[in-house]
Amino acid sequence: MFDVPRGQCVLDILGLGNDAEQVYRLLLSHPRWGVAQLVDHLATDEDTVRAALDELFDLALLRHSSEREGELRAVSPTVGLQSLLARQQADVEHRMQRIAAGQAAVAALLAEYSDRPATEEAVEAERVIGPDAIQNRLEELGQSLREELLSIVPSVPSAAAVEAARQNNAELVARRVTIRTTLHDSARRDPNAAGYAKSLTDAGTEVRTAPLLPPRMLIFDRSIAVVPIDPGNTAQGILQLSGRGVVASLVTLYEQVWRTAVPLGAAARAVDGITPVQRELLQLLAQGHTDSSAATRLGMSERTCRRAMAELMERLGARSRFEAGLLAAREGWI
Amino acid sequence: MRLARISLAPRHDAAAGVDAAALVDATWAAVRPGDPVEHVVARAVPDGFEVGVFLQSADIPAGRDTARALMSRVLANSPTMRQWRIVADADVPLDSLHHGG
Repeated sequence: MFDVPRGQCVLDILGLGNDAEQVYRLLLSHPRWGVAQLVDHLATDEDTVRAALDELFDLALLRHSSEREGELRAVSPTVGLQSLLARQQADVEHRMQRIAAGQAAVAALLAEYSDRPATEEAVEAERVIGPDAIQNRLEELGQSLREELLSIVPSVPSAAAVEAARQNNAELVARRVTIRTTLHDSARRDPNAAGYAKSLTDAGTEVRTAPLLPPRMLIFDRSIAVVPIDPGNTAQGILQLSGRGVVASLVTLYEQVWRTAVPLGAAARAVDGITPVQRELLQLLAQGHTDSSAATRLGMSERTCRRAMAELMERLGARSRFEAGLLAAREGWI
Repeated sequence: MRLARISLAPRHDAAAGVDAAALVDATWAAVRPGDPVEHVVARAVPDGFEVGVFLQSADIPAGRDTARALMSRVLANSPTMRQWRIVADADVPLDSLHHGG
């Protein structure tokens, strides 16, 4: 027999991934914690925590195979070890991809700024930073508005912002300005969002909802657009854009979203037997999104997302996601 | 969280192929409101599948029962999955994964 390598020695060498180790320690010290608490405590995303749990399961397969516990069948150590190795490799590749993506983004930024005169930015794009400055700017833009305001509101703003928007909207409608607002589909389920949507329609705004929205935007008279500087962190401030090309593109994007959106009061419609949400889910997964990032973009839980996927697979009679993808493409759903 | 482990084997040699991701999806689809299921993982092994169900359960028997009932529903839910059966299930104490534990 061997002198040295027993299962756990090999594991010492391989080690758990950093995330898996942290999750493991937390699970031992806080046995009642669930995925949500782990995500919170580690300030990480759900994918990371779930990948760590997968890794712990691989470890469990390994440990309990070497001990042949109870009536459980022994799993060849290669199965668990291969999973661990594959994950370490994927981890390295993921980091390299992030570095490459970072380099590409920096290169693109440098290229953009180097061949553009500094003055042009001041004319066509202006940054407004700070809550008061933003509120003042939006009021100014509202006052000079003549015909139409288009807005995309992916998540319901704070109560104060809602009240301010309601008053502004009522004044604009009184001045015969047309207002069209697109909210996320989740506004149909969330009571706060539903209240916001109702106050909009009461004020005379046309409201629709869509399953997938671009970041927040406001378009004034099809000539000025306002978007967040960083959609992931709206506190950073806003960007006021007046370049014709940029605004025209945003208006086109808006109209596309509006066409597929469903008026508030009408039920979300099913096209070709699949719901708009299922269609968006298929498209996001086809683009390479993970379950949890697709779920986030669709404003649903990962569990609901998986359930929708299982329903789709049942409908298509698919036995794997790969097959489901092929069949969905054949149906023209992707 | 507790970890319950369930081993699945085909009922006969010609059992329909399912991949691990599809099995995880089918498992989530069988979760009922109130089931304390936090995470599901499945690994294909030469004799079938090993499924791990992470549960927010107070004690070992409750966790194991929930996991077993869940997998039974998965296997009953579709003709494809009906060709599989549970061969073993157990609670895996997380502290047993410790070095030398």
